Amino acid sequence: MHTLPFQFSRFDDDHLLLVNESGEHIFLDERSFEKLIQNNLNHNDEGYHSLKSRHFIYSDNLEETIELISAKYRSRKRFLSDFTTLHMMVLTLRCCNDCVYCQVSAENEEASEFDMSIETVEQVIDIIFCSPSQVVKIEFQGGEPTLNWNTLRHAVIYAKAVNKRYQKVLDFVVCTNLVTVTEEQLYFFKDHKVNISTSLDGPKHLHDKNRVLKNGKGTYDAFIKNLCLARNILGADQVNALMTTTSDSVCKLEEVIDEYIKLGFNGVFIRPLNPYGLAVKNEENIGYSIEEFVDNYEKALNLIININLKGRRFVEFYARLLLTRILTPFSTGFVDLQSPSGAGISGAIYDHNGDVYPADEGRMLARMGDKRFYMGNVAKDSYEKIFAGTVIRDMAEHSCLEIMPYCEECVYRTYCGSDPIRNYAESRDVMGKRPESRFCLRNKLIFDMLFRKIKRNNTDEMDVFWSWISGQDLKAIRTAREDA
Amino acid sequence: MRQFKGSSVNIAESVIGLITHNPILFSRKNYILVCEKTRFFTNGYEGVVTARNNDIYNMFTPTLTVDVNSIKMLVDGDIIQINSDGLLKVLWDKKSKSNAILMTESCNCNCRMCPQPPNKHNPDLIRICKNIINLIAPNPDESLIITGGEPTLLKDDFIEVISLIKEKHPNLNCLLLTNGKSYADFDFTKRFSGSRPQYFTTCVSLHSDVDEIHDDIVGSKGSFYKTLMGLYNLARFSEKIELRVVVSKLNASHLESIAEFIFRNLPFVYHCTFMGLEMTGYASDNRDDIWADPFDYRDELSKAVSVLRRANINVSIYNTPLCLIDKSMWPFAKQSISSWKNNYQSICDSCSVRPDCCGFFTTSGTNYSKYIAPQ
Amino acid sequence: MINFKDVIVVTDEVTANIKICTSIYSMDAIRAATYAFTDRYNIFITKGSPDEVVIVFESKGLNSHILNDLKDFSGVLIERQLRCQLEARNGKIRDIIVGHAFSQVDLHNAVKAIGEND
Repeated sequence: MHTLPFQFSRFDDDHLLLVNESGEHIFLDERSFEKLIQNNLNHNDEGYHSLKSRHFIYSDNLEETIELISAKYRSRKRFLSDFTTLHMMVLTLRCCNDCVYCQVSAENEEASEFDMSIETVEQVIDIIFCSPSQVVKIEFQGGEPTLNWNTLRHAVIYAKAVNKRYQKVLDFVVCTNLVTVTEEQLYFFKDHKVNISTSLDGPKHLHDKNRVLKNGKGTYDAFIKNLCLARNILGADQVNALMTTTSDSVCKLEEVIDEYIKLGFNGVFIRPLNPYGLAVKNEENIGYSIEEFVDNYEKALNLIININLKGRRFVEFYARLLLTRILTPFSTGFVDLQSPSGAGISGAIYDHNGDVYPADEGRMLARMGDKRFYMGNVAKDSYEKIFAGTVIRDMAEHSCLEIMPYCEECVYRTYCGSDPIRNYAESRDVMGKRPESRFCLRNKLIFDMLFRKIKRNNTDEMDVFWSWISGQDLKAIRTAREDA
Repeated sequence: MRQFKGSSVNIAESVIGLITHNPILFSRKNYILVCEKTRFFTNGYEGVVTARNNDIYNMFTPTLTVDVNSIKMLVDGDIIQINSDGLLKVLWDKKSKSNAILMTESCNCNCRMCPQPPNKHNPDLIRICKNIINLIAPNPDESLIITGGEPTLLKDDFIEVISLIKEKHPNLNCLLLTNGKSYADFDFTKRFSGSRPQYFTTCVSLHSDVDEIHDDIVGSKGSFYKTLMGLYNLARFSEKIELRVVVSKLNASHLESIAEFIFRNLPFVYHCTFMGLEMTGYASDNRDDIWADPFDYRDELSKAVSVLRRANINVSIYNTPLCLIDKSMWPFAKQSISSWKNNYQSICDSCSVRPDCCGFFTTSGTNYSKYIAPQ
Repeated sequence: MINFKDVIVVTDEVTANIKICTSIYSMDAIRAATYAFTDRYNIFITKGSPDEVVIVFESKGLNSHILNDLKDFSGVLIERQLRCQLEARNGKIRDIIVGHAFSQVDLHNAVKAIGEND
């Protein structure tokens, strides 16, 4: 027998975890591992069969075996062939809120010189449609994008008109705090199938600690009123929410989940703080350790699993993403965790003045004076110059985990991704310094946690996970186990 | 297929025709008259099947005389073949929703559990297939199964037959039973994909997730990888694929592993079935090596079905009585045994789920589980 | 009888060095192992006697117990060495896999070229 390429790491007292290029994993006891690395396993040994079936070893037919592994590798990297699918537009920097962790460092509501003009938004959309991707997702961001209503409205109508020619699958999302949204705007979203992505940090006392107006007052009440209105007009499926964890909520995730369930949401994305903008400034007040986050994240996940088992479907979106990567051969488009980096390749952001950046963090750096990640401007640069220019090439070259120190040998490498802009922001080096990286530590700890669950293989838990991954009802999966 | 024995007269070569009970049919070509006794002139019919042959009316037409009970089993729309040995074969059973046509008995595998061991290819079988295809008038809910041996071995003849089906019955639902190895040839797959009728499922046998075991089961080294490469080519042409895993002693212990392999490497398959054994032919010769009681492997089977169920791949259990599988698996068990070789044990008479159960192969004789019990 | 004290020299609470034989451990493994400790230690690699490198560790003062950490280091070093060996064996296959994933490679010739067909 011969080995095929894989990564390994000691997992617990009894077992090592191995993960290979096609994304399959296996837990091996020490003795079997020793035999494996000495090329000394024979077909009667325990583990031989699984190792062969999952492509950790081969005996003959290397060509056909490579054909199979390549197919899985290609599937996993399919997001690359779509190229840029997600296009985010900063319609304005104006906002009525002054959230404590705001990445945008928003301007006040009257500062309309930070609005994207109609002319610019048309140029942005023209560039967007140059992307080879058959699916285009346009995300309106800000500040608060609904404050620049004329441009938002025009963008939707213009994009649809342009799409008549290209016939792509065109989706819209508006990232709004819902605080100042009007009925007229909601009806527009309904008519043009614009999805709403909003922020809900928890019940009132948690939400209002973080998400405040410029005068310091809470936004929860206004938010709830408009949330119900939005739901009534657009339907629950078209309205989703995510939350940002701060030190106030990190040990109270249970309350956040209760709030989401109470309001009828289908799931939640439990997001940690990202170290940009006001989050850095306020870190002492709102920050928390990575270990604390992951610990509480695990507790929250367990709670959510039980909610599902009791009959209420409720998905934790980040867990679902990682589990899909671990348990299936399919590609997952999640811009923030790809190799090479999703920023620029899978998603790009257009500033209010038409400047293009691979991600919001790049735009933030430019605002603070560092234009390292400036890709070009829609008014004066061609699509090729922007999307095939040096910035994006440089990022792609330096963000492939397969060649980055520490990452290349990491057992979770196949499932993980890089964040070159964050690396640069933290260490002035696009490749980053892994041993100190909190991004790395967080991902590692979450993978550890999920793999403990996978190893335990508790039927109830795994059924819930699979109901998320496959989109099926838990009951439908489990009638295969209960009395018919 | 169903067969009867009688005595023949005037039959030189074997005769194939559509059954009719109408003795005064105007347009008689391709028809075989079935009647209890011959009372009208039979000139013009391809053949006659009767219980009492009155040769005043029936002097020259190829005729088979059988008992009256057999006569009662034949219906209009059946296609039969009668030959000089006195054998009547039912090639197409109108009462059945699905019928198989046998293209060849030659095969490039030697499966240890094969219920129909390979033989040298008889080119006459192709002629018979084409004949059948020309004669049938299938309803929309009927389907045609192309079987063998290994039909794809016939290369050009195979393509000709499926092209003929496409021409005569473009909307007929077809299934092909194959080991998939011929499709490792990309060009052959391309030809196949362009020639076949629209509603076509290619059923490929796969019995393990590692080559040693699969090759051992099918009696041919290198088969596993050839079949996989064939599956990949079929997928490249977006063919509708069903995987068939025949469960025997050689693979019953790792069905879950097989299911996982299918999901990770062949997620494009439309349907996967786990099939119980038909204990005849090589299967009964090799009984000691291959017989596994489904009752003993029911847990492993449940796990395998769960894996595919979770991944949202259609999965079924064929040829396995309900009393031998977990109750929770019953929704996946299908009526899978051709009616002409399907029966039940006498102990099944008191079983409440008998109507839903696939029962047994008559061909398996007394080779069945000791755990059969009415539910 | 050699034990850790002979190989690891602890100068004081925050400094220590370790001698590593380069005919046993590859430089790739050594570099990879030291990289993993750069968050807690300032590290310098220098030449010792022939066939030997000396690695100097200086704690960044973040609650580290230097002798224990250097014992951990020796474990990490062995693991990295194993990884280098596996990479030498498997790296070429991995390159073919990735190449074939993105553009149809002539697998037969590629496999022949790395001499893996037994």
